[in-house]
Amino acid sequence: MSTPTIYVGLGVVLLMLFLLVLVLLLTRERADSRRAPEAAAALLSKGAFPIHCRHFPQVRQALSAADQQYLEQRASASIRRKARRERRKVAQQFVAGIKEDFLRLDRVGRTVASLSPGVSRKLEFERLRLMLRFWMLYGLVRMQLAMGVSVVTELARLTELVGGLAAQTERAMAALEEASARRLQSGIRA
Amino acid sequence: MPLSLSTYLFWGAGTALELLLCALALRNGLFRRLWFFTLYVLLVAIYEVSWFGAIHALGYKSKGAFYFFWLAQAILLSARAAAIAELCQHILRPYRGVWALAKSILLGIALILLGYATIATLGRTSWITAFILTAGRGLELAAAVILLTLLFISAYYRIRLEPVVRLVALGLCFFSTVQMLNNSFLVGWLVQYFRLMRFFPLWDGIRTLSFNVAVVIWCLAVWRPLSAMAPEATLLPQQIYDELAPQVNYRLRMLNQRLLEMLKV
Repeated sequence: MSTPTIYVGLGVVLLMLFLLVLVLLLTRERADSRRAPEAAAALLSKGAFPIHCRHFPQVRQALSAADQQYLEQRASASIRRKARRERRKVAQQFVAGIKEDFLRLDRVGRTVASLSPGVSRKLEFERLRLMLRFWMLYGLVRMQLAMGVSVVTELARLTELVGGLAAQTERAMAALEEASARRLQSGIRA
Repeated sequence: MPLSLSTYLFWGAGTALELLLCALALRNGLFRRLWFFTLYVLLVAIYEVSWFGAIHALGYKSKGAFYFFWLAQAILLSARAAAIAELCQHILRPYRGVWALAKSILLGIALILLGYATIATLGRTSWITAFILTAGRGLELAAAVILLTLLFISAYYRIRLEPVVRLVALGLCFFSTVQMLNNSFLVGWLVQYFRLMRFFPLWDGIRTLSFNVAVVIWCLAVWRPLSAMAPEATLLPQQIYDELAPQVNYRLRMLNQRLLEMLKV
């Protein structure tokens, strides 16, 4: 391929990226007018996460092997089919919820980074890489779920991870609020 | 060579737009926010008027007009580079940590692309116009990539862009991207098969049209008086990041590991 062709190709890619950024900027601005890190910090202080992980016990019950066995023994074929469809739907919705929790926590990471006086290049690039990887894996897991593979045990591990991170973040934010209040008090005294 | 009526109309419309932009920028105090960008739009308006005078005094195809045109392009390109640097600083500087990180990324990208542009340009010393167009192509590529990276970084860290800054960045990015394609198409393909000057009006037409689109975007940016500057973000103590960031990454890493395990089941 000649150099000019590469350049024209690059130009087309840039043009497409430009359009993508344009759409992103315009739609995100409308959908979320509180894009400022300050607004995200307000989100943290409300403790609005995680939402979906908290419902895992109910979801686990709905997807349990015992329930499945019970249905196999007692229910008619049509009810079993309907139940399988419903279980799959529940699992898909739950994984989608996990994604929401993940995104919320990832936003916490980015917000803290944007409001920090210094950030580590290594950690920031690692988080970006992990996020891209998550999207890829999440897509594959969704596909697997669509094909009917049972993932209840793995969902439990997933939930523990996201929930654990949220608890740590909440602790850090509580410490932050305390520190801010102390600074404010000492500022008033001074 | 007398210019056609359509050329006059095209030029007149473009100049009127640029003068309108200058008036709006000065009236609404854009120079207080983006000094270099305001200087750039002023230089563009001055150039448009003087270019018209130059081609009438010296002739459209004269050597004098040729040098005037390319010298003005070099000055405008430098002013645009300064405006882009100012834009990066204006958007990211209040966020000290992100700015320190982004500065090294943006400088790295700029050095690589400008270095490549220099090497590509030095290989084309045989024909001055091809030389300039190759240099322009490299510089436009660098500008487009830097602006897109800047917009990506601000979107990634959810940094709020004022509407005026956002539209200025989008206008600059649009113009650089179209110009890069325009230069590539001319330098790469048309130059190889045809006499370049035959296609110069086409190149200039695309350049002017895309620039006018950018000017319309910038006019929209400064149409209304600029809102008051948002107060600077209050930064967190460094300790919060130092404690939280490794934990977040650890959890994300584990989460990906679990997802991978789920796939292996």
